[in-house]
Amino acid sequence: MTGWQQLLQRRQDLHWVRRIKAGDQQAFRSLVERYQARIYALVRAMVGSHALSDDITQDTFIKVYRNLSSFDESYPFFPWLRRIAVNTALTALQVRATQNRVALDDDLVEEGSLDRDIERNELILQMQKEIARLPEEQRTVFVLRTQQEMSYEEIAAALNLSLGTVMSRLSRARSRLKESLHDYI
Amino acid sequence: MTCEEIENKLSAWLDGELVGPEQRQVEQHLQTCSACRSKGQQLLALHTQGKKALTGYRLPETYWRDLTDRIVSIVPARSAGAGTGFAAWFRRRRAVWVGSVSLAAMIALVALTTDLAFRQRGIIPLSLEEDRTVAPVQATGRPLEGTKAKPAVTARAEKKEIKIHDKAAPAGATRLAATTSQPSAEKAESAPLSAAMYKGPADEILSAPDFDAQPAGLSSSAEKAGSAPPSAAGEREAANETLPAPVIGNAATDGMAVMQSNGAPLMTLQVEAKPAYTSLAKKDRSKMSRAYSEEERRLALQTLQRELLFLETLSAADVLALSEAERRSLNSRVVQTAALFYALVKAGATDALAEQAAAFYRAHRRVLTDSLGQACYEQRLQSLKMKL
Repeated sequence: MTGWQQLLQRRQDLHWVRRIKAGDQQAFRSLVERYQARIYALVRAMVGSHALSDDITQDTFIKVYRNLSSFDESYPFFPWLRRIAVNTALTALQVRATQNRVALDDDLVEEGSLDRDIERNELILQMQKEIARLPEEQRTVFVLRTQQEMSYEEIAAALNLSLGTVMSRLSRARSRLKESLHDYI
Repeated sequence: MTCEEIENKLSAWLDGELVGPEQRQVEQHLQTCSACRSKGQQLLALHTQGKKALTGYRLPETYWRDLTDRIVSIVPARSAGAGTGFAAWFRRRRAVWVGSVSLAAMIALVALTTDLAFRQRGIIPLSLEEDRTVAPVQATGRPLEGTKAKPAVTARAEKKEIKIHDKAAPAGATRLAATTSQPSAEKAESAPLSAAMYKGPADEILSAPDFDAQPAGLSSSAEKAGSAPPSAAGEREAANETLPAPVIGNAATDGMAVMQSNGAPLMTLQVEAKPAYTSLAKKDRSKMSRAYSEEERRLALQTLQRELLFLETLSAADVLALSEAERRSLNSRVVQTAALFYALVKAGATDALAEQAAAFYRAHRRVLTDSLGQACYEQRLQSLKMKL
């Protein structure tokens, strides 16, 4: 996306946000339609399970709707939305951890949910499994960097971590993946 | 800098996060060390492939439309809470009202749904007296001995429909009964209830299994008895009954609510008009759970299985073809099934059932939140998840 497109998108987002605050449901629908796939992909990468990702995506947008009054309009909308999604996903992961539910491996690659071309790619499948096996704190940082292309500073702000912690977690995650995917990469 | 130190910084260097002296040190080292260059290339490949792995989720367009609809359908009710005055206050308290009422409705729905499985056995679970006193009756519509209550609600012996004869019956009971009667009663009488409820515009019966087929070993009193409620055939069938009868929770209303088993009252509860649902649920939920016998549980599971089978046979196209009234009926059925699921799990369930229940709640999130309210829905789903 070019800088110009990004600017247009930001202005459109702001326009929708203001209309939603004024009670326009159609504007909220437009906002959901624009971002739901991106949020789902982020959450899915973090939690693995489709069902849980579905729940979290839905909850994220409901939270956004409820808390829209606290959104600072001088900042872009998507990072704020993404931060809510990340927090919601982390909370869900904590709940799941307390319930001793380790379903990541099984849930990660669900039938029919992947592009067929990608499904055929053994490396991609293997990589998804290995990412799912990463410790949660490493996986989250890896996903935010790799999929969302967030800077270390953005990740640190989103997760309330220091820059050094982000750097070391990402480095450990990559080393671990490199080791486990040694035969493929 | 050693190779080990470089390796620790390589990841950050690739991300463009190193600046100044650190950046220069890494770059100088890479110019001279082929091993570290190779590691750098591996990390680059990892990043590229990782991005593909984390963005390769493809879901059908219908999924996104459904997700949008679900999200948008939830929030308007929340936003409507703004404002002042009694109406706004009531809307803000909606979750509480809906939660309370739906809990009581759940009890009655379980009764109703379980009733489908028991109906053939000639047992009518619920009776309402004209003076708004709930009294137990048998399938014949005749009051039990020792009770003066006049039967006000009588199930037709024809198994497809439940009719409310009593105009004084409480709204809750009427509504419950209405959800189980088909929109076009005339033709549907000859068809299974489950299918007839969802007839298309051309009155074609959807190709659903006959979910009202009798469980093996149960007598066919309903069919034999015809449409006359108090019939000799019904009495004979009731007399021949050998299996223990279900315990059924009554819809709450003013006066007395009676839980009954095999025609005999188990407990009588004094309930009040509006808070009745809450008080009934709060005070006696545990008693009801205990009263859920193995036999009832088995038949409730059987009923549940049929309901799930039915819902599974409906394709998205089938649902789209339904009229508004038919869709409402279908939604009611989903709510009933969810209530049955919930009650079964609450009364003690295997992990598999709890998991299935949670999946059902998630799959029908939109319908259930519409019916129960978001707070109640979330509470139930959480409760189901905790059972896992």
